[in-house]
Amino acid sequence: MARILISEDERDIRELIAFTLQIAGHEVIPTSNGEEALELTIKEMPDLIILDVRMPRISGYEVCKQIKSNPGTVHIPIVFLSAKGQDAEVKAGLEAGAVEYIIKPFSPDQLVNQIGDILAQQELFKNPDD
Amino acid sequence: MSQLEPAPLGISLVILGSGFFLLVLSLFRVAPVSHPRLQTMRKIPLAPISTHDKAVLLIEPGGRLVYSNQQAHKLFKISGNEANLDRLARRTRPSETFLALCGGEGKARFSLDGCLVEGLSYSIPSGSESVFLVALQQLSPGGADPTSSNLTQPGHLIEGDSAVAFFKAFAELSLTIASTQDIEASLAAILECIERLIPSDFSTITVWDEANQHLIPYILHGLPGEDRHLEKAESWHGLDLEFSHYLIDHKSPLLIPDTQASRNIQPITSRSVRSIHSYLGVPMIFAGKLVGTLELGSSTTEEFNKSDLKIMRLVSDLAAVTVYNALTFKEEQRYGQELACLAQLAEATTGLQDLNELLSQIVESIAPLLDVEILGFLIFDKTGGVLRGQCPFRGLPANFLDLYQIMLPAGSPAETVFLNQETIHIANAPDDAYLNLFGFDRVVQAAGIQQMLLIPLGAKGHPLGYMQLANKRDGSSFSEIDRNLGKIVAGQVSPIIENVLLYSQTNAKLPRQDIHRLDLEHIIETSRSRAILEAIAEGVLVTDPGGKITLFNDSAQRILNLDREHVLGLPIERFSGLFGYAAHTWIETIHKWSTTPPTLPSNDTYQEQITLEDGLVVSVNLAPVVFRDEFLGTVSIFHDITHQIELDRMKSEFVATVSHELRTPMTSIKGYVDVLLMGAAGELNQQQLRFLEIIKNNSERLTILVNDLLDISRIESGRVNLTMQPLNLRHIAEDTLKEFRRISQEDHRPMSFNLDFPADLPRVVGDLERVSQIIHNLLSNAFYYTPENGEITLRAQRIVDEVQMDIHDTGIGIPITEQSQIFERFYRGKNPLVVAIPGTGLGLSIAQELIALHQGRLWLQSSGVPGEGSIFSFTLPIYNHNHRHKE
Repeated sequence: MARILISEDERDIRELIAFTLQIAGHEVIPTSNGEEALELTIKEMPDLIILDVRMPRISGYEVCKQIKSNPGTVHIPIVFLSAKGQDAEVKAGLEAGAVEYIIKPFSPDQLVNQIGDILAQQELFKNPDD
Repeated sequence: MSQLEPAPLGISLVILGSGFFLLVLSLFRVAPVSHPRLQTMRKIPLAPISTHDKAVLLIEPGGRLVYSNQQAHKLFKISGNEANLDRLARRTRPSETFLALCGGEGKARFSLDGCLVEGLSYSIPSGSESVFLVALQQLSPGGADPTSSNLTQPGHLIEGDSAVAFFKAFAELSLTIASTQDIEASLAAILECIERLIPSDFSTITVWDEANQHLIPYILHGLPGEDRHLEKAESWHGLDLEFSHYLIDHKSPLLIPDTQASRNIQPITSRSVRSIHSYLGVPMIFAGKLVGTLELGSSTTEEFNKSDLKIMRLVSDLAAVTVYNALTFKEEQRYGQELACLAQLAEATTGLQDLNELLSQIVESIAPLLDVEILGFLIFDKTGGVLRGQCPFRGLPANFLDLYQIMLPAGSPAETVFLNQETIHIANAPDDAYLNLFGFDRVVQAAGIQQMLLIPLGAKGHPLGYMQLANKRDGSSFSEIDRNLGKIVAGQVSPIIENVLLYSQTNAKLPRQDIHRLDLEHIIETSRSRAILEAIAEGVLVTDPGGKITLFNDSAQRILNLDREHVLGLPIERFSGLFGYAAHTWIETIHKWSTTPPTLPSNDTYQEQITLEDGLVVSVNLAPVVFRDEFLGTVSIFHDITHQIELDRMKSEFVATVSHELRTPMTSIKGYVDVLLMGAAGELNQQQLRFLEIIKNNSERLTILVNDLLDISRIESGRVNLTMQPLNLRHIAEDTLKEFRRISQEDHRPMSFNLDFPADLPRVVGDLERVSQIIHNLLSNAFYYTPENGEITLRAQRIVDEVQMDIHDTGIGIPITEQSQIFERFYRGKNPLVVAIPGTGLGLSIAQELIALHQGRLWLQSSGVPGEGSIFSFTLPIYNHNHRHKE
């Protein structure tokens, strides 16, 4: 099981994601804005980060770029989970360095499956011999 | 133009007829006893005419005998008062021959009391019918009378036969003039007639020239019996028309038995070749108007008597009508010719842009109208203050024209005359004061100008120059008619010359300011179009064929924020610099049209949006202006659409924002319902599960609605980016079907799904996601509007260079009446069954828009009968090499 950092300003959704992932057996580090997310990423070094795009102060894109520009955190896979679903927005997210862009509303079991897939690939990447 | 009305032929015949009766009367005035009126002749027995040895009968239409002479009475052995045609006919054998002679022209013999009689009948027009004159002569029994041939040969008419001779000559004259409208032929016939009737040494007929107020005398050349021809005589046998003027002044005849002894009039005989000793002349007057004169002269005295005068008067009455008609006819012909020339002028000069070519056409067109030796144009050159003779100048050699320059110094009397735009008539060239004033004397001398007309060109206040006419070919001086005609022609050609002059001045590289001023003033300002173009709310920019800007209206100034002064007269390429690259294609198009002009009017238009530096968005519509196969330039219409664009943007933004804001709460609703349904929050009973399912379904519906709204918004704003690639429709169809099979199972709505795709179906070109969306939308409709246990078939086939896919269901169908609206947004039909089924009414509209973006078409077939279902079909282009190259 993995340690997953969530950054989502909407409390209801944050709790929904946290609840869903916890049910699936993951450990969740909830944050409600970009600054907090950056701070805790460095502090906690999670296995995966789920970011909302539209957040107060620092946007999800910016958080993603900063994490990816930090050699210490560049390896952490980032997934966007956003209501912003236009082509350009998805493209911007992937260009910022995310591995996946999930558009809200999401289905909890689908989210769990997708996160599971990414983590599995990550494990494979970390231990190519397995 | 003359105010004269042409006299109908009928009138002349009536007059001719009445002239005939007068003629009859006059014949008897020659005889000792005379009766002044024909009416009385019918009642009173006619006195014998001893000089006539032939019997003469005069028969009216209808066979009434109106006159018979003494010889006739003798021949028929009757007295005058018993004479009637029936009675005479009874005496003849065969009487039919005699009656036929009395009712038609010809020659015939018949017997009268056992003697052979030969008769000749002449028809003399009277009114609309003819009166017959029958002359009869008794032949010796059984043999030919030597005099019989005299009757048939008018040239040998004997002295005493004057009545018959007169009738015959008169009848021939009337026939000749009735058969021709040519004035010269008529004049010749009149002269020949009078010569035959009254022997004379000289005869002339003059025609009054109303325009020039003088008489034109004509004489016959050649001897009688030979080939005669009419000639215009300079003077009448050296008499300087003295007698003629007496005739027209007094409007009365003149008979002078001895000119030397005459007290009334003394002819000037000093220059005469042969003296005239006796004279007879009558004026020709018709309807109170002087037409001309008819005059005879003899070298002996006492040649003419009063009976000759009477004959002259009769012939002159007829001649007056004839000449009047012929003149009117000639004038009408001339008028017709004028109209034809002017029409030809207008046609020939349309579209000409070269001044010399234009003037050449004008000169050619109007030369037949103005019968002059010298004809050409003097055009005023403003820059040099000089009037220049223009090539071609009919009657003047080309090298002469280089010298044909008349200076008009500012403030000089010559300039004042020019600016006053008066017609200058120089009747007697060498002595005219105007010549000096203008400096024309040199030209006049060199060109041998005797008389000339300078008719001003140009609208009032805009003198262009003169049209010059000089030396009429017939030697006469310019009349009021010539002046008027010249003015008409000048009025016609002035605007044409003016326009062409502007073109040539523009081409002569005048300073820019002048070009723009001239173009504007004359090409646009003179027309109403400018007012219209100026007034409209859209910005209007017009370029000439060379690509120069000639019109830039107020709205264009406002929209493009440019002063007219900075734009007009500039080539359109210069305009490009003001807008940068944004306007590139538009200006390129104008340039392309200006260099290779389209010659046929077409719908070849061009439309573009230009974003200006200050953020203004302008739509420009451009079209070539082609008139009669000639490219006249282009017209661009500007419309400020900044506000419109801003509204569109705000709408799109609003939809995007709203969609986003809707998604956030929906994420929570849908997510928590899913979590609950997963049992993650504890065990649920059946009812709780069912209610949660309802919440889930509705939240999904909302999600679809939001997604559809976003799609519509994107399509509308043109923000749909398609990633075109070769697609295997079968795979997409199978994937989509798989989804609906799952839904069918999950929803417990059993449905039969079929796929009918040929194995060799070619790949299509499209965007994977969007094509999937299209098939999904159509399949979704088929699925939801088909009751349980229905059948849905997906079929595909190649048709030429497209693949057509049909989605066939066995559902409720679509009523014919609703089929036209089915693709409208939010339209969901009126069937309660449809309304009950969740849907947004956007699916078909989106599918249609997306298919159109793929260059395909979408249509439907449905009988509207429930159970027969519907077929929705769409096409997509087949992937080929061209597509590959585009990738």
